[in-house]
Amino acid sequence: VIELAPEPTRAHYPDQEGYAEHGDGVRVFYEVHGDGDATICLLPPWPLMTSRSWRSQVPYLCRHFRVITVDPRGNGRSDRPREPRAYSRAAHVADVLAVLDATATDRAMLASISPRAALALALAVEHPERVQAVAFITPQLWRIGEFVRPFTAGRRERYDGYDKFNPSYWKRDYEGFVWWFASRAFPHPHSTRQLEHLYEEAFQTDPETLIVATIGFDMYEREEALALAATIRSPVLVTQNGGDAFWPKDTSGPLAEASGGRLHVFEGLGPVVGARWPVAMNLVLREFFASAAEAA
Amino acid sequence: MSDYRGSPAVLPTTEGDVERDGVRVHYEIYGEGEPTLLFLPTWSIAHSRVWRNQLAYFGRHYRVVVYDGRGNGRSDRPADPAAYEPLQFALDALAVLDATGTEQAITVSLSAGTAWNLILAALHPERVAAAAFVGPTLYAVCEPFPDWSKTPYNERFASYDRFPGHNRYFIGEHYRDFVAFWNRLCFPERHSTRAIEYGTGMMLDTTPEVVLATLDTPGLRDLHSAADRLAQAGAQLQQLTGEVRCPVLVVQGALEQIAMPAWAEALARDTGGELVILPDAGHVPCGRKPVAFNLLLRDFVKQVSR
Repeated sequence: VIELAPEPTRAHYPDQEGYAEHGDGVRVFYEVHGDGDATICLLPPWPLMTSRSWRSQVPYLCRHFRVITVDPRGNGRSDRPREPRAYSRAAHVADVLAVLDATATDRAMLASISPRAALALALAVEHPERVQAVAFITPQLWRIGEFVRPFTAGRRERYDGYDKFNPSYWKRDYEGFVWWFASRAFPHPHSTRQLEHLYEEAFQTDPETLIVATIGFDMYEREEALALAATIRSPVLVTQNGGDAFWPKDTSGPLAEASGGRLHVFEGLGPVVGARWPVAMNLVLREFFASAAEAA
Repeated sequence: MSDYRGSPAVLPTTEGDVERDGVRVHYEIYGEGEPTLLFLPTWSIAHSRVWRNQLAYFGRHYRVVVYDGRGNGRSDRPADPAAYEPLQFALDALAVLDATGTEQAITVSLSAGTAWNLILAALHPERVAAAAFVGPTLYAVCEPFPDWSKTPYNERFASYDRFPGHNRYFIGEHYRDFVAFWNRLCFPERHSTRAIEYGTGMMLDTTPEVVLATLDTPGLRDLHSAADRLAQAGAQLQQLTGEVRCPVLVVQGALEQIAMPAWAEALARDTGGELVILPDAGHVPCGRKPVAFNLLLRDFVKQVSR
């Protein structure tokens, strides 16, 4: 059990918490908030973050729904295996199913952040009986050049800009990487609290874990992802940011079109709308999940 | 002023001007009902938007009257230092009460507004149902004094890099640096960038000439330091507290960098009021910790309106 320093206060404390596992010896930590009829599972993020990155959604959504959060393998209170294969997409799918089983949740509505869109897609197409709706927030489903090129470029003398998305750099100067990432995720004035939260989460893990987690998580090929998206039967929401030069935008439109889902563009906002403009994000999520729950 | 309200949470139901001795003061009314809360101006480095986080909340429950103090906002900026004596601010408050048809109000002051709030409560008790003092500065009735107040006020220094206090030439010739310095003192809480931005904006809505005029009121101009000015103001105000009969609330932030805790304690003691210390708050709890402050003030309003 990984003990973290207690947080000063939380807007909503979990009504239930625990660990789930599915036979590979890795335990993932989950929380349940609220007791609404319909359940939302806020999927684990890339393990630079923890489930606490949903902190500005949970207290609001749990007034209307039952909300489950899951710490990703590699950060938060989940275990930190050190082999890439422990971070496969299939292992993450099994984590979420194990959490749904542990919380006696037959079906859940999912929300994913950025590259964990691939996890949401896998759950929706491989386990449609467990998935009631999917919200893909700034989705990435396939590997994209801006991040793949520097990640596979090997050791360099110096690392500028996106060069910093590089395992050798993470090992040499993890804080430098966290700062680079955080300052692009939160470039707007008055983001000091969001920057501090990201720091708190990023330093609960270490570069070695983040490297194996990033190598081990298998993304889709573009054509495969869009073909699978076309088979999703549940309601789909895809969000994209208007004012965001950080996340690549080549996924949201094609995903919305392929899945027949609704595309919502946050005009002028981004990159991390849920943390920096939680009201805007929460209203969109609530409206989508409420209509999906009603349709079910 | 290009952006007086920004994008406000609520707009006033009524607004208007009241004029005394050729000085025009602009007021706004939010909401309706009983009682009326009169949010008083503070030092003219700020204007009525210093209460921006109170207007929507209290306007939903009560009637709120707020106005720009002379020297900032949409009020006039007289050049004569005599126009900025505390009594003039108190007379403006009475004129605003008259103009808005308000017989009696619960008065709320911030920082330097202590002076006119005390004058109103002590000398015009029929107009003040209860008085709340937030971050009271001018009730400087005892040692120690804060470091910022001890720098010589009228002396010209060779350098004003990182100057640590009140000084005529720092304010007059290095106003932007003074603004930055003063906002840092006002907002010691973490994650205060937005509050500092608002504070900076309000300080730039007036001029260093006006700020100097407010500090050069008759009898204060030649005093050695801000500490001496504070001590004189404190001695004068303390004579009034015996006259205060209404319920009093004093609110002070535990992280306060501008006023001393002993002054708030003395004000509560001398007026028979209640002192509440807000944890994690600095000089402007109404701006930086609005939820905690609003709930506290609402409890006080409920208690005194029974």
